[in-house]
Amino acid sequence: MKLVIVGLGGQGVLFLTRVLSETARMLGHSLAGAETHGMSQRGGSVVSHLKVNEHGGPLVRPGTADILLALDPDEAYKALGYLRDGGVGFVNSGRADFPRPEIAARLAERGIELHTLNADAIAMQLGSPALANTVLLGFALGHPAFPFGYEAVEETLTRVSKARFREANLHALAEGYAHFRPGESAGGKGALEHTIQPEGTGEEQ
Amino acid sequence: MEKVLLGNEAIGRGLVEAGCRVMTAYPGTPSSEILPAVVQFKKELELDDLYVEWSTNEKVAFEVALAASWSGLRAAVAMKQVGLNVASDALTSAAYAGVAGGFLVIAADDPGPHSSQTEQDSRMYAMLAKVPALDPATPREAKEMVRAAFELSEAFQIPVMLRPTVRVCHGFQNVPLEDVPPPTGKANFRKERRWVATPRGRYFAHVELNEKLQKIQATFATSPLNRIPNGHGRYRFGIVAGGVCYPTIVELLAEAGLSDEVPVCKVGTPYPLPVEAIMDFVSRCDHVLVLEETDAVIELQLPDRRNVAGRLNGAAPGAGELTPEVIYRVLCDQLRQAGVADLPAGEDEVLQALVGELELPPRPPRLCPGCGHRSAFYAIRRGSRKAILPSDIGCYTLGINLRAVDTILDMGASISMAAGFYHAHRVSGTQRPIVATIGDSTFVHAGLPALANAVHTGARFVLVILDNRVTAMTGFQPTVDSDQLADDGGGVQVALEDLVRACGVRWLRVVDPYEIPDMIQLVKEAHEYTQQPDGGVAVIIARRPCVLYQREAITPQPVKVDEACDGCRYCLVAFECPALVMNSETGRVEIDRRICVDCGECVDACYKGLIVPVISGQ
Repeated sequence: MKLVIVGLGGQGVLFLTRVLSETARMLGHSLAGAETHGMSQRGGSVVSHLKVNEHGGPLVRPGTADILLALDPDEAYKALGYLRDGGVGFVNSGRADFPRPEIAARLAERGIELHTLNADAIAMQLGSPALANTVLLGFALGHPAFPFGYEAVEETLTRVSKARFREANLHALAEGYAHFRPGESAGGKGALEHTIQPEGTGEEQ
Repeated sequence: MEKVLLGNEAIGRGLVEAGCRVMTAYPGTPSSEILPAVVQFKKELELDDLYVEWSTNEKVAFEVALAASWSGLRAAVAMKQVGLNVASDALTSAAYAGVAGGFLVIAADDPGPHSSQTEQDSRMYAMLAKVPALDPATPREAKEMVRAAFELSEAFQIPVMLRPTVRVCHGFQNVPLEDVPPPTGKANFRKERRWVATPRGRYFAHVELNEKLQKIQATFATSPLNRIPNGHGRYRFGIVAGGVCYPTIVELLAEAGLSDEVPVCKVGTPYPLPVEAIMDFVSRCDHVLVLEETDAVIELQLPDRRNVAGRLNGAAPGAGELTPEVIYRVLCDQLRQAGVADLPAGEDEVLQALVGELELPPRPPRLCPGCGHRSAFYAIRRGSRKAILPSDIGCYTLGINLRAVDTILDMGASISMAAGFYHAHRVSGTQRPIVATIGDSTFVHAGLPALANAVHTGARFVLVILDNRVTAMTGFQPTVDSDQLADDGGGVQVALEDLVRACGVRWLRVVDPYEIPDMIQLVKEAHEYTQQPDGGVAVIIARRPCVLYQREAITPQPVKVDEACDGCRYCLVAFECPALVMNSETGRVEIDRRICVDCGECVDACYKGLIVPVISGQ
């Protein structure tokens, strides 16, 4: 399972990466990945790679990602190339013209699903624009292809959030989830919790 | 027990597990998280016998740690690749002198580059200084190599370089943790002739160093840090890979179903390269592709390259990071040319073309909303038109977005180059105002010798020290001006004002850059001082805590854009705050409330007076 998380410096890409990698570890998976640190954290493009039960290097090769989480629509466009045929993308966007029709058509040809949510607007309603990342994560958790289920992520989020942000983060997660699955209570397991077994073969990395 | 660790954290853990007793560093991406990890484990495990220090620069850090090694303790120093330039004087001499306790030089490279002024390969410095270099492929291996490096260092009495690249440093992985042994041994400096560098002694030291390297090369031939396919099998195509290129190529070959057909030789010890063992493998392959970052260090050491492709013959690009997509393209080309396999294209070119047509704006990094540097740069531009603006390494490099930065070379160069610009113009009979900018940490790192030099030689320019109280770009490490040490409080504060005056500067003012009109006035006064008969270097310390570090230092002053805004874009260009955005529908500038920090500084950035404070209750 390969995930790519993109956004702009300051949007909380690193936090999402931590939540997901910690969830994978808690569930007993082997993982590898890479983060962006340094100058790009000052508002530049930030890309995180996360590989669960995969062998090899830390980076996801374009054309092979199962999941894309994008906190910004322009950064999403730049990162769409990471998705494999049949991959799924979740994008924070309030733009009426996202994705452009010609791009949506190409993605459809390849069986790629793109789900958009105006997570910024929801986060503002929740009282803090900084919550958009957690809102988008909750949204993605509603999709059956997402590797982890709501409960597992909720547990990690409770643990890794700073005390003063914990409640707001959990609320944002629930709010995002409700936008993907309106009317359903949060719950369920993710794709990696019952379908994919850790592989134990090959070159140990 | 296992934990998810960044490569840098794994290195920090490795240092603690290996009984390192003194660890020093100067921050710099991608190395900055190594020392904080050591501090974290020190606190968790209550390792009172472990000394850690953020030093003022890499050379200082190197020498402090080396003295611990010469006292018999295990010691390590960490830096980024360009930091090794600063510490190289110490490195090359230390190689000749040797060590007593194990001594580890961690130099983190930045192929890309992502956050550096060069892409230089620190393994080249290992060759230059004649010290062994280890090149980890993963965070887990980086931790294992720390222990191996200490053992090697002690066995051969030589400094050892650990050279992770950015994808190891900022890669993460489940890493097994081992117990941390209680500290053993006491520092006991023994007087020996080899500690004193004299030309005659150093000739013999050099002979001895060469002998050490030969022995180390022999041990590397059978070292588990390398995986050299042995036996007598012949192959049509083989790969030699170092660092993070190794797991990447293994993965690509597995995906292509070529794992059995194409053997991979893993090199963890690029210098001195176990040439004989690797040439045995190379000679059993019809074609060989060498993959390594960032320059051709393995490749250069192969004595016969007739069947070898890599960076040197252009098969792999001569610059930039070897990402999976780049390696895949190189692999496809080479396999096709060798007639081994024809792999499918790796990327969706149709999608790439469609995205390309969108002409998405590039997203360069920018100074944060509320950053005091922005106000300072704005004031400098207003107060000194037509000035030459040398600047320096740090967040404020981003002053280029405000057109307030004309040159960036290396740490400390703003001051020496300001002096150089002055002398060059003066000697040829011309005059230009000059305003140099440098951060507080960079000033102490390499600006002090430059400032003393400038004052002594009679240079005339304005120097603005952008003092945000921390080393901000790399993660808020403390500077000498604070009482914070790497692991605790209790540091002796060294005031910037005292340092400036001690360099002989006679005109010094301190200002809060948020007071833009005051600062514009000061910049003008400073320039006037440089023009006086007895004038010289005028220094302004623009002091305002980093907004990310001390958000509470801002007194909230919400602003709004008046509806009379005509969209002239002056504020967008001249003030360049990410929270000021053009609404293409209304044609007016708006405040992006998601990121605005209510600093109120942009009130000064609309000369028409249309960015106005919101009076409470309004």
